[in-house]
Amino acid sequence: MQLATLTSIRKYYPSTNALAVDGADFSLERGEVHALVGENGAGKSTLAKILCGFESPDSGTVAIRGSPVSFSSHRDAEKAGIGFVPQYSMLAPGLSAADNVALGHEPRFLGVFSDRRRVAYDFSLLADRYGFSVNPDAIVSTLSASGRREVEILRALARGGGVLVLDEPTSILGERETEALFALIRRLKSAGAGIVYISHRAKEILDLADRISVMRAGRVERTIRPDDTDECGLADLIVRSSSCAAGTDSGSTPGKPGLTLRSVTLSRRGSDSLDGADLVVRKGEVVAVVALGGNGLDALEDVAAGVVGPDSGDVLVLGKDIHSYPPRILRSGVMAYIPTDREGRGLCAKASVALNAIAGRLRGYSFADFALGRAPLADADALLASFDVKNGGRRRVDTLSGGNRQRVVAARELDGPADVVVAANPTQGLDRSSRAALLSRLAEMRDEGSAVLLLSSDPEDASELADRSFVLYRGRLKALSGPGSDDSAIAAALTGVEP
Amino acid sequence: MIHLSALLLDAIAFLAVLAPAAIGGLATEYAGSLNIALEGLMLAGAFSYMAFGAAFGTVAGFIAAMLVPSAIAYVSDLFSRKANADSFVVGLGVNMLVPAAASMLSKYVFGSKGVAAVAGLQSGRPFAGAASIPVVGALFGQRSSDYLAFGVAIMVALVLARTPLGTRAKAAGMNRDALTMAGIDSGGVRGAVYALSGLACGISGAALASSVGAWVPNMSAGRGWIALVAVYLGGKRLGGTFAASALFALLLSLATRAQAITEAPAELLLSLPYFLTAVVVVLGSSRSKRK
Amino acid sequence: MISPVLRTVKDTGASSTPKRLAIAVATAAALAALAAAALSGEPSTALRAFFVAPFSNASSILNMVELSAPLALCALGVIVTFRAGHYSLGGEGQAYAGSIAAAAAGYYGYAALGPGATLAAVVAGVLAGAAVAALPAMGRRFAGAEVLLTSILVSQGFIFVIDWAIGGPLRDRSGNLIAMPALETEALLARLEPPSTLTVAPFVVLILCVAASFYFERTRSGAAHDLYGRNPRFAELQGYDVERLSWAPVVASGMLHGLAGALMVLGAKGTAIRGMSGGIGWSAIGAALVAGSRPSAVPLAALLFAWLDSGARQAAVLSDLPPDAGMAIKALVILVVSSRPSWTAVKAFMRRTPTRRAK
Repeated sequence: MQLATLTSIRKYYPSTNALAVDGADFSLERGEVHALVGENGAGKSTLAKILCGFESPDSGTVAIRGSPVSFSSHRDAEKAGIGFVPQYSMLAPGLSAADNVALGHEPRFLGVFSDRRRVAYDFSLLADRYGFSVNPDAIVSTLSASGRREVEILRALARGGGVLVLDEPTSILGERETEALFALIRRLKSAGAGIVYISHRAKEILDLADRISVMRAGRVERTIRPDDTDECGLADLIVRSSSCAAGTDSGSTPGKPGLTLRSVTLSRRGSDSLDGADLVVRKGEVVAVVALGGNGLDALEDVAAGVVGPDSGDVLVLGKDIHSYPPRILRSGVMAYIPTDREGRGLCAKASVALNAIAGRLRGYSFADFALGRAPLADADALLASFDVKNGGRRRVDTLSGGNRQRVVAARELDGPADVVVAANPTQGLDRSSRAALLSRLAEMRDEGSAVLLLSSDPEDASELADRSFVLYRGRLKALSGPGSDDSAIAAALTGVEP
Repeated sequence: MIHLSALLLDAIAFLAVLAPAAIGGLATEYAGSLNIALEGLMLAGAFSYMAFGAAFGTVAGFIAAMLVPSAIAYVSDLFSRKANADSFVVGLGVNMLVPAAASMLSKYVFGSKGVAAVAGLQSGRPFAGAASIPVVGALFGQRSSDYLAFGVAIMVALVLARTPLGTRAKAAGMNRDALTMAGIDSGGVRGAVYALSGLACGISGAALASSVGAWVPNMSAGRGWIALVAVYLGGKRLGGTFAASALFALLLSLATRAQAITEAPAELLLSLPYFLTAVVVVLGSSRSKRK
Repeated sequence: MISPVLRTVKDTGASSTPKRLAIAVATAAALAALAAAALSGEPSTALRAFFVAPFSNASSILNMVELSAPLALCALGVIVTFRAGHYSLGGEGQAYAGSIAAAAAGYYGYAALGPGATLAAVVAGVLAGAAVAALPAMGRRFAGAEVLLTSILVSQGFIFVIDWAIGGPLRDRSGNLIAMPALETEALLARLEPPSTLTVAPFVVLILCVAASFYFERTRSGAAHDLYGRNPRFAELQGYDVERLSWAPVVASGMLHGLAGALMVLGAKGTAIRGMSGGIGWSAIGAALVAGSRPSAVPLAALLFAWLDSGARQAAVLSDLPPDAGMAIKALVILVVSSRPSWTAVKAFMRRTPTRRAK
């Protein structure tokens, strides 16, 4: 019997004026992994949210085990045995792991008070059952990225587990954690659960899935078996244009040092620390640093962009201390910076897209130009067009999707010449084609003589673009030999396996 | 010379006013929403105590002092959620509306627009006999309304620290998605903490009114703001908020007691706690900034 | 003055300003009528006080315009700080300080300066407002202290001090009113259209509003100011001068409030009176809100509040309407204007289908 059936689902969002799902059909059998793939904005997440009761469809039916249902919240879906592991953290960071799992279902004593012991005990039982080792009392914000993901998975399994929906679960996981997750998924599958698996990673999907549904423009375009395709074939299905022949080669030779870190140490930030990092990024090269969450990548981003001064050591831009540059000079033509924290640092979400696009070059206009001229708007339009942000200028940034927001940041930062480019997770939220466009723009800037520092938690970014790669593990940098190190070497270094 | 025990007696009385309001401010702060209307809600509590107390007796006064501000806070939050209004602005509106409404109603209830004393509404000091014990006597010499205020403050603190509602409020303040995942309406949680906040502010207003047994227009005189400052200075934690309230209570009692022993004009002395509090905020911020 | 071209660059996302003003006027009129009918013993007299008397002759209208000037200046000050993301609530004390400083300079400076004392009074008022704003501003600049908290505390402290000064050492003992001695007529602003109280103040307000509007809509500094107010981290990373933006708007706002206090003294009041600020700081926040934080709409918003004030005062004198009705109506207008019910939400409510937050 089919565990879940979604028939002709439609969902329209008035706030963004988008028809997210447009008549999609989807089904899930007992004991199968059904992968859901497609470009950003194809409607995968919305479909998953409808199945999990976060959204109700405008039309169409959802049936669980053959009987139609109408969920009014995720709680209802949980009662039907549906668990959800979201793409972005939906945990309360200041609460303990156990409190997060118990939220909304707290055991009580005297009918009023939270029974804290019981909360922790239930959590331990659950963790033991699925082979996780998270401390129930650990505050979520102190956990590593994979620890947090484990809590999310436990929460999804705590009530039910007949259906598990995972939205890009491996995006922040290392090799080992990914393997563990896959083992768990296979175990649940053999116990008869149905798993919906949303991902961009062709290889994983081929490994794991029993069926693959490809979504485009709000519809499920086709459903295939993994045997019918290979990695490149699947990638082509996800994106219409072929994208499998990526990889750019440096056309120039490295020049003078653009960005230099000399034994930089930054501590007192928990797991996110740096321990004597030495790094030179020369003009005309791309240096990639890859790390999984909580190994010091954020710390490296902060010191390299000059947001935080190091405890000890030097950060030099073009041979001069980064803090000797007045902020205005540093940010006009010397350093371009794409931050990981897009909403907090990269954008002013409550201002218009156009103003965000030209925010970096305000000082470039004369008083009269800005007051009376048409240049600001024309520039904004041109910048946005360069990264294919459509009809954006007038809207507020917070009405854009994540991918479009990232493109606005990229359009602003990667516009002009810059001596140094610090790009931290620049491809987050981008679909394959815009990701390719962004990487090729970074390569272009390198060829024009920029020193590019690429910080990423996705090894694929590094292997595609970097001239030299480093891995950051527990705050220490380790060079990988030569360009194009193979994936398993990176994976080993990322997770601290000694060669 | 200021008597230490007299000073403590005053300080604890001020604390009975500040602590509930500060904990009420903390309640909404947990849920990630700044309740700017503490001052107005205190005033609503004071007025309700006097109005209902005059008509139906002290007990009714205290009950009304908790329920009326609680309802005002709940409705104002409901309004800001349902009508999509900024809660900061709605809070400012409440702060403007309450004193104006109280002064208009005062004409009908007490027959006067200004100060209205009502006999029998000043709380007594039930343990005054034990008040002569040095130092700890200050704990016993308080008015019964002050003990009630402390009781309510402790109750609200317990709700925040030890019940599912408190945990959910914290979750709402940290990441609303966590509540969505638990299938809980975050709006409902916010409404509940606003009601709780109103209740706590109300009892603090009642303690203020019953200490003088009269309605005085604008009698809260900025204490709601001091309570709000205590929330921030206390690091948005229960213990810290209470400690900060105690510090400010001590400052206020020093200013009051100093009037008896110096020639300095009362207004100048009364201004000092506000300036000192502002300085404490600045110093406190500079410490946390360096951290 | 504001072309649609720049509107597209600088969108606040709020409902349009004319609509807000229209809603505010309609609400105020409805509430005034309701208050007059329900709360006054003589409804017809009260109604006339609100709806006829203020417009009955040119001089009443001009009085109202004059009355709106200080309020408009304060509202402008509020906008300057709020758009920088600093929620200064200290306007009341700043305006009050402006008043006492202007009165002192005008009264004691007259002997030395003659009519030049007017200018001295204006300068003194502006400086006093800036001085009251200085601690919150510097606390923000050097310690990162929340302006919201420090401004209200400092303002409250100064209100006590000024109350004491006006009632004590500076008091004019010859009168019953707790006030400073009246300034010489020559030290006051000239009345342009006697018998009305109109002075040059409303024209100053207009010029400042136009200037502020130009600053926010048309200058690079104004754009940086706005971006800083909405996301300071972002502004810092774009290389703007965030250190200056962390304090200068607070001081500028203090200066505008101080100027407002000075104009009250030099205009209709003639001296500093105890309690003369009368909630102007709070009303100003409301007026700024009604104006949708746009300087160009401030004069009209202030005029609306001035009408409520003068109408309520008249009604209180002529009929027995409680004098606080004006303040209550203002508060309710603020609440109504602050609401932005979205039509989709309303429709969903009518259909009673549960709506959930879209991620």
